[in-house]
Amino acid sequence: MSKKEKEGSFEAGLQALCTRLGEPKWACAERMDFLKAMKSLPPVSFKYGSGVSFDSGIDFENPKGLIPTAGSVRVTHSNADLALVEMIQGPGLGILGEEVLALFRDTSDSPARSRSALLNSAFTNNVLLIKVKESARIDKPVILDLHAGSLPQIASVFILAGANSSSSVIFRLSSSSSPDADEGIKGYFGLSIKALAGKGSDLKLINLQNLGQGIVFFDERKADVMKDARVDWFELSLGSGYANNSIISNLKEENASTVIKTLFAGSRNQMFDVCTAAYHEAARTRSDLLSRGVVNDEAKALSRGMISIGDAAFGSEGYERQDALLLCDRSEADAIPNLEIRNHDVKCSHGSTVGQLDSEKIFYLLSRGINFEDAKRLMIKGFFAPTLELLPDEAKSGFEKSLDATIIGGFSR
Amino acid sequence: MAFLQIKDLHVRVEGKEILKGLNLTVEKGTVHAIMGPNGSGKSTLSNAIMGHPRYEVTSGDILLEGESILKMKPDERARKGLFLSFQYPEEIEGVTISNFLRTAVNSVRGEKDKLSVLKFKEAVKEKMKLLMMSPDFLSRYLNKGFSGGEKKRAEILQLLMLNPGLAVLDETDSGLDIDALKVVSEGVNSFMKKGSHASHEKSVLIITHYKRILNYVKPDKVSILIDGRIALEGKGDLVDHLEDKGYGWIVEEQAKK
Repeated sequence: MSKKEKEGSFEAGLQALCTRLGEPKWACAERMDFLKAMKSLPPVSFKYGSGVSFDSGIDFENPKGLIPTAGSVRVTHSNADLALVEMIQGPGLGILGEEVLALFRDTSDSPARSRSALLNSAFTNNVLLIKVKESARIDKPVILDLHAGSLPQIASVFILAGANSSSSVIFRLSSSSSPDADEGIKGYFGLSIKALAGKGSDLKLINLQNLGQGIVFFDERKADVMKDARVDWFELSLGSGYANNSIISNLKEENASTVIKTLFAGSRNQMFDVCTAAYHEAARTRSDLLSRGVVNDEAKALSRGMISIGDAAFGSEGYERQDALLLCDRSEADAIPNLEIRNHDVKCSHGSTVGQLDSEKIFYLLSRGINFEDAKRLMIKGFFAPTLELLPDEAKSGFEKSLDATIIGGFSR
Repeated sequence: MAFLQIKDLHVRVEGKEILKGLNLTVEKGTVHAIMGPNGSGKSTLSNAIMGHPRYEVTSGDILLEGESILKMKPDERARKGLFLSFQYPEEIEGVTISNFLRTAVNSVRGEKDKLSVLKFKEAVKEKMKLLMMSPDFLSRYLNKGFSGGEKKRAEILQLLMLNPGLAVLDETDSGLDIDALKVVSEGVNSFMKKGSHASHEKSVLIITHYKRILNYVKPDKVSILIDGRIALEGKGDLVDHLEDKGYGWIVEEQAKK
């Protein structure tokens, strides 16, 4: 097939999707813009300067297997106080309305979006809008279960956190197979989460990814954080065969802050490509980025972090840290921290480590009668504990349970 | 009866022989001190007893109640009744003292003899009181951000909870101020007292540079380690002699032999 024909079929696919979803004209036009932007980008590469190379098995030049043609993601929510949180759900962007969609249009300094992110925006067939009312204080986290029964599927979540509101949302991603099983559905799963955190709001977004290992997962999450607001992102990645996370906070107004903490644990042939970024666009903004993961067997991980401090961001602070543990000689991990600073009045630091379990620490635990397996288990759990402690029980226990089943259970393999 | 017997032990670290035929017997129910100058092999001895993989035993034997432990892993040795209080205890992030201690206590006690959560809490509270540790200690990460004194107290807390047959204390007195030294010493003495009943006699092997701790924990026997061998042994009063004269005269006498 010639390149031209392939390109044509993305468009034909989009037309068919719009018709199937009954999208209004403005929504189809928006999707078409995303598709055009996607096609203007160079082909996707999964080779990185550090020598780590990933093969996601996805060809972004070919629409086959990427465009949802049937079915939907099953979205269920629990714990939500509907007097304070409004949830609107549908297959297309039509449910948002033109004005709301316009709020999420990119106006940031953050770099051009990736091909996968634009693909997800153009071809989403599951849309959810969450509106947290102004000044609402919500103690219990809203739990959203996203279950993929057939693939490909692309889900998009738009969150508007009203001024001075406080809320948290846990996304639990699952598919019809357990993360440690090879069988089950195979294919592409895309996710996009866009949040707008109004003045003085506090929004915590936690993603627990437990997809089956046949799934290739690409997500993009982005928050615009306004004056005095704070957005905390937590990524708990355990599943999928290949996971590509891109989590970005744009600190757009004074005194905005963000925390981005990504945890991953993989075994067998799993691959994790984690990219987090904070763009400081205003004065006295703060960011704290952390990535921590373990890989066993032939699993691979790459973690990239970026703190970019713009020329208007006086008095800002940014910290990033990346740590990876290799549990096996065959596992691979790399960490690439980046700082871009265009202002002299800032505090920034970064650090990264990639290594094996510290043998002196293991010896210390052994000397107390704890056997080798239990010593490893304690240290791996301890590696994640400081971050997990910040999370509500629903997310924490979900991660720990899967960690036990996949990584720790895998020691005997 | 001997709890620990070390026979003609040769140990190499990174290719260099450090212990060169060391013989030592620690009797049940006794406090045994090992003193020696820097570089004489004191820490090598404690690591070799515990089975650190970097310390290679090239010949000789280590017996615990008559049984060789050389082939045993460190955790097996601990379950056999050995305990090492580290000179520099490791910091382990994310693992609370409480979780760690419970795992360790239950590992040493074995499946049948596991301590219930309630019993564990009671026991640990009692020991912490003795060591003048605040209860919030339990929820802190193991040794993470602890002061030197806190680390040593935590070591003695582990000793009291694990209740081994022999406690090897590797420079437990270093870095302690006088008050902390007293508290830690009381902890060690309380461990020894538990063994006042004949069938449960406990032993302590104190490895130290200085006399300080031995003012509080009185040794029954003192062995002087010089250049990888025991150069001299004596009763508790040998300590005072050393305090006055240093190690030089022992080295000289050895040279004459």
